Amino acid sequence: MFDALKNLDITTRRLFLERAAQSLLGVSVLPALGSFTFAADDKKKPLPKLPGGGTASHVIYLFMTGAMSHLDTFDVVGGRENEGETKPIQTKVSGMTLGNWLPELAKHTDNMAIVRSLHTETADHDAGRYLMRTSYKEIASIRHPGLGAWMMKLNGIRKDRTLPDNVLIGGDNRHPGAGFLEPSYTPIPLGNPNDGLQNTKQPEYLTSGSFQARLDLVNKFDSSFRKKYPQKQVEAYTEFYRQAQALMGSADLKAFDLGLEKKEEREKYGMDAFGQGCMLARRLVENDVKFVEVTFGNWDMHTDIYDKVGTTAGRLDHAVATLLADLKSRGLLKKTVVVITSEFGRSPKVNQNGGRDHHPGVFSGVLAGGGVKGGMVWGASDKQGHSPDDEGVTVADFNATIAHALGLKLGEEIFSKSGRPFKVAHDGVPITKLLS
Amino acid sequence: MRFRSRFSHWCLSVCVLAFLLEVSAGSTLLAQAKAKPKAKPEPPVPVPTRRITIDKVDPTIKSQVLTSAAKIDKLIDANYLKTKTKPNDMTSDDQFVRRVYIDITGTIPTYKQTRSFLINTDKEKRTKLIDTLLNDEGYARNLYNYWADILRLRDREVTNNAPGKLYNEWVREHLEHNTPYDRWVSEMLTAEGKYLDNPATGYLLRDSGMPLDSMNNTVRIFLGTQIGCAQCHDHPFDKWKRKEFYEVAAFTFGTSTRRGAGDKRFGGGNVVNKMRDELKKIDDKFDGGGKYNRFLQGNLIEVYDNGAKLALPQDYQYDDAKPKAMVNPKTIFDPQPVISKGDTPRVIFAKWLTSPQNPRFAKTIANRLWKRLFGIGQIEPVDDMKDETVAENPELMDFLTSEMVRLKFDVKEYLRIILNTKAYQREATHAEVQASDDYHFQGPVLRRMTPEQVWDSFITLAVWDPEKYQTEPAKVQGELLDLDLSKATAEEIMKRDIELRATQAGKVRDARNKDYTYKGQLLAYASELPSPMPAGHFLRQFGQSDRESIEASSEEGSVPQVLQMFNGTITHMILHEKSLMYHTVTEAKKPEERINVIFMTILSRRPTEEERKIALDEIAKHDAGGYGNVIWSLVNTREFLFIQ
Repeated sequence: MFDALKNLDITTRRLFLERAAQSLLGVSVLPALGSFTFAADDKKKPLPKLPGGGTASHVIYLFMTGAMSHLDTFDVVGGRENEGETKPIQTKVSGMTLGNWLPELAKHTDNMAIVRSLHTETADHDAGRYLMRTSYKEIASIRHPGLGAWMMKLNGIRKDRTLPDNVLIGGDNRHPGAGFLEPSYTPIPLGNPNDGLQNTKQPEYLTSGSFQARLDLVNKFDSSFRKKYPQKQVEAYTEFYRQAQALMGSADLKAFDLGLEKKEEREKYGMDAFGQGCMLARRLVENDVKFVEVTFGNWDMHTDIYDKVGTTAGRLDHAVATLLADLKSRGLLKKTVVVITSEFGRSPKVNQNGGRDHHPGVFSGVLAGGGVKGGMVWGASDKQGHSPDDEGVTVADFNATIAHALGLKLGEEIFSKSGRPFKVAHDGVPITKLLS
Repeated sequence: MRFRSRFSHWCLSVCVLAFLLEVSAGSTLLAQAKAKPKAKPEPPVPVPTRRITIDKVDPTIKSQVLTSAAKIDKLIDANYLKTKTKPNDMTSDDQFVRRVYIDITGTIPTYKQTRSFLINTDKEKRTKLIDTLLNDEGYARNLYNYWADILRLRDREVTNNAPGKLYNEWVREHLEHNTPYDRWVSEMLTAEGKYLDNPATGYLLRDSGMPLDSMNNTVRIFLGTQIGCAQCHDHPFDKWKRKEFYEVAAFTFGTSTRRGAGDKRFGGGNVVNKMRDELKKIDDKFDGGGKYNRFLQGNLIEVYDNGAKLALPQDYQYDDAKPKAMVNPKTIFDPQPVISKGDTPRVIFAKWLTSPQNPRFAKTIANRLWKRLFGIGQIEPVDDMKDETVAENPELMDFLTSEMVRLKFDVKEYLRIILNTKAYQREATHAEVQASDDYHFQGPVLRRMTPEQVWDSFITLAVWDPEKYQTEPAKVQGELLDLDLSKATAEEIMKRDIELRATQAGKVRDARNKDYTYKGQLLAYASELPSPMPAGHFLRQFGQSDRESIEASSEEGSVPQVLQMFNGTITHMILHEKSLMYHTVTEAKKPEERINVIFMTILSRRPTEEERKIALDEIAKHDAGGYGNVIWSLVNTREFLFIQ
C-alpha cells in the first residue's frame, strides 16, 4: 500500500492520506498544504493576515538535548523494519500512536498536536540546538536571540514586575540567550530546579539600608572603569545587578521554591531533575513568567539505546503527563503552549553498538495547550522513518507556529547593531491549521 | 599558631571581631586555622599526593625570544600603518601585573606579589615576571582548565566504567612537563592498550562508539577545520565532499575500544558473567547487577586496532561512488602522509596530522594561543578555517606558524614570545569590538575572566597556601581498578572493591579537605575540583562548561552570578577573620594604609584620590564594618571581573 502511494503526485498523496486517516483511523493527518502555498509565494510581499493563533501568552519549552529518537517516542507507527524494541501503543485519540515508553502521555493525546515531519540539515548538537532556539543558522558574525528573548522584545518588558519573564532550567552555556538584543532579555539560568534561585537572601548582619549603601559604593568605585569601557559585556552586568537587586527584596521569590510544594505533588512529576524542572516551570507560569525552557539531556544514545530509552522516556512521560494535567486543572493550559522537541532525530538504522546515531533527516515536535488543536498529527515520515513523506516542516515553520500561537508579529523586523534585519521565526510560515 | 597569636593580639587592641560583624564560631576551617588538640589523637589518615614538576623556560634563549617578539611587533606596526589604526597606550605596571598573572597562572596576584612588582625598579621586570610565572604551577593549572574545556574532560567517566581522572591527569602532566604539543597529541591519537594501563587512550574513548564523530572532533580541534556537515552530505559552505569525510574517517575507523567478555584471552566463556556468578557466592549483598562493573567492564576497556574497513553508508547519494563501497583512507589535504613499513592507519594519520608540513596543525595551535592572550584570533572562528580563510594579518599568521614549528611545538616558549610583545602589553581596547569588525590588535580586547579564573581569584583572596591542596591522585583509583581478568579471582575483586570504597569514604575526604572547607564549600583551585562541577556551583554559574560540547565555557554575565557575588558564601568568606584577606589588611595599621592594601589586593592597583576619600568616609562611618563594605563593594565591581 505504501509503495503504491509513492507513485501518486504529492498533492494527491496528501489528500489521500488525509482522507484515509480521517475515515479509517479517526485521526486527522493534516497535510502541510498551507505551508506549501505560502512557501511558494514571494516572501517579500506583506504576509496576509493569518487565521487562528494569538490565544496563548506563555510557553513551556521542553528541550530534549542530545537528540531524542523520534522512532522510539512520537513517531512510532508500527510495522517499520527498524523499529527496534519499541512498539506502538494506542492512545486516547484513536489511531494516534505513541511509543510504548509513553503510556501516561498516551492519556493526553487529545491535547497534543504531533508534527512528524520536522527536518533540519545539521547533525551537530550545538548547531542543531542553536537553530531550534533561534530559527537561524549559527554564524560567526552575529548571535541571534532565542524565542524567549524575542517574545520579551516584541511584547515589551513589563515595568512593574520583579520576576523575570524568561527562565532557563537545567542550563546550557551555549544557549543563545538574548543574542544581539538587550541583555535584559537574557533568560535567568537555574542549574538545579531543587535549588531554585540561589543566594537571594542577604547576610543577616546587613540591613536593607546597608545593602543599598554597599551598592552605592560599588557604583562609585566602578564608575571610571565603566566610563572607560563602554561595552555591552560590561553594561550587561548593570542590568543583572538591577534584576538581582529587585529579586532580592521580592515576595515573588517563592515562585522559585519547590520546597513549598507537597511531597506527593512533587513525586507525581518524578523526583529527577527534569520532573522537578517541569514542576518549577508550572510554578513560574502560574506566577506569570512568560517563557520557561527546561532542558533534558541523556538522549544521545549511540550505544545500547534499549537499555536507556525506557528510563529516559519514562521520565519524560511521567513529568509531561503530570505537567499537562496540572496546567489543565489550574486553568493554565489554554494560555500556555507546551512544546516538546529536540535538536534532531536519531537514525532509523540501529547501529552495531545497539544505538541510534544522529539523524537530521526527520524528527518530531509536539505542541500542546495554548490554542493548539489536540488530537492531531501533522505530516509523516516515510516508511523507514528517514525523511518527511511530504515537503516537511522546517524548524522556522515550527517556531513560527509557536510564535503565531502567542500572537507575535512574524513579519516585524528588528535590526541588529550593524543594521541587519531579523524576525522572530526567521522566514518560517506557521502551520495555522494546528491552531484554533 | 603564628596566625592565631597575632590575631588575638590585634583583637585585644582594637576590639573588633571581623569585617562582617558576624558570629560564626566553629563554622570555618580555613587553611591556617588549626583544630584544637584532642586528648587522644587518632592516627592520621594518609593523604596521598602527586609530585608536580614544572618544566621551566630556557633562560639561555632570552635574546631570541625578544627578537621574535620584536618581529611580531614590526609586523603589527606595519599593519597599523596600512589600516590607519592607532595602537592603544602601553599598560601601566598595575594593569600589566594583574593581566599577566591571570593570563598565565589563572588568578589575580596576591597583595605581596603585586606590591613587589610595583616597587621593583628593574628595567627588565616584565620579562622576568613572565618567566617566573611560566615556571609556576599556576601555568599548568590555567592551561589545564583551557584544555579541559576543549577536550571535554570529565572526572566521573571518560566512557562507561572508566574513570576520567586518569586521562585528565595524563593531560595535566603533559602540560606540567611542557611536552611538545605535537608529541602529546600524537600520543593520544595513536594510544593503544588498556585504559587503566595507558590513560592516553582516553582521547579516543571519549567518543567511544562514535568513530565518525570522533574524527570530526579531531579535525576540528587540531586542524581548526569543520568537516562535520560532510558526514551526511557534501558540505554546503566548504569544499568537503561526503566521500572525503569517509576517506579520512577510514584512518581511525578500524579501532576498537573494548574487548569482548568472551574474548579467548580471558579463558573462554563470558568472563563478566562468570565472575558475577562467583562474586554472588561470596558477597551476599551482591545481586548480580552492576556493583562490580568498574572492575569487570572497566578492565575490558582497551583501545586496539581491529583492521575493520569503513564502507560508505547505504544512503550514499553522489555519483563519485556507490553506496556501501569500501573506502580507502585518504587525508583531506596535502601533503599526503609518508608511510613507513609497519605503520598502522592510525599511526599514519597521526604523523600526517601533527606534521610541521601539515598546513593547518601548527597554524591552528598558534592561532588558538594567540586568541588566548588577545581575546580574539588572527583567524576567527579558531576552529572553522577554509581554503579561502585569510588571517587578519597574513604575514603575522605565517610568522606565528613558523615560530611554532621552529620551537618544535614548545607551547611555553611560544607563549613567552607573545607575552613579551608590545602589542600584548598594551591596554585593552576601550571601545566595544564586534564579532564582525576587522580588529587590528591595537592591544588585547577586554575580556571577562573565565569561570575558573574568577573562582581561583577568590581562592587567592581568601585562602592561605591554596597550592598546597591537591586533588586525589588518579593512581589511587587506577591501581586498585587495574586487574588481569584472565587471572583475577572473585575474592581479589571483592577485596579491591572494599579498598576502593574505603578510599572514597568520608574520613579520607575529610583528611584531605578539612583545612580547605568553608560552609560546605571546598576552597581549592578549580583544577583540583571535580570536572565539571555540578550545575548550581559557583563555577557553573560563572559559565564553566558541562564538558559535553567542545569549548562550551562561557564568559557571560547572568543574574545568578550577581546574586552569588552579592550574597554567596564565597564573597563572605573573604571577609572572615580567618581569611588571608582579613589578615593582610589588618597587618597594616592606619586606615589609609589599609585602604591601599584592600585596593591592591582586589584590583591590583592603588586607589585614586577620590576613591580613597570615599573609602575613608565609609570607614569613618562604620568602623570595622566599613572595611567589610569596601571589600565587598570592590569584589562586586565590574573592574574585578574583567581583564584590562
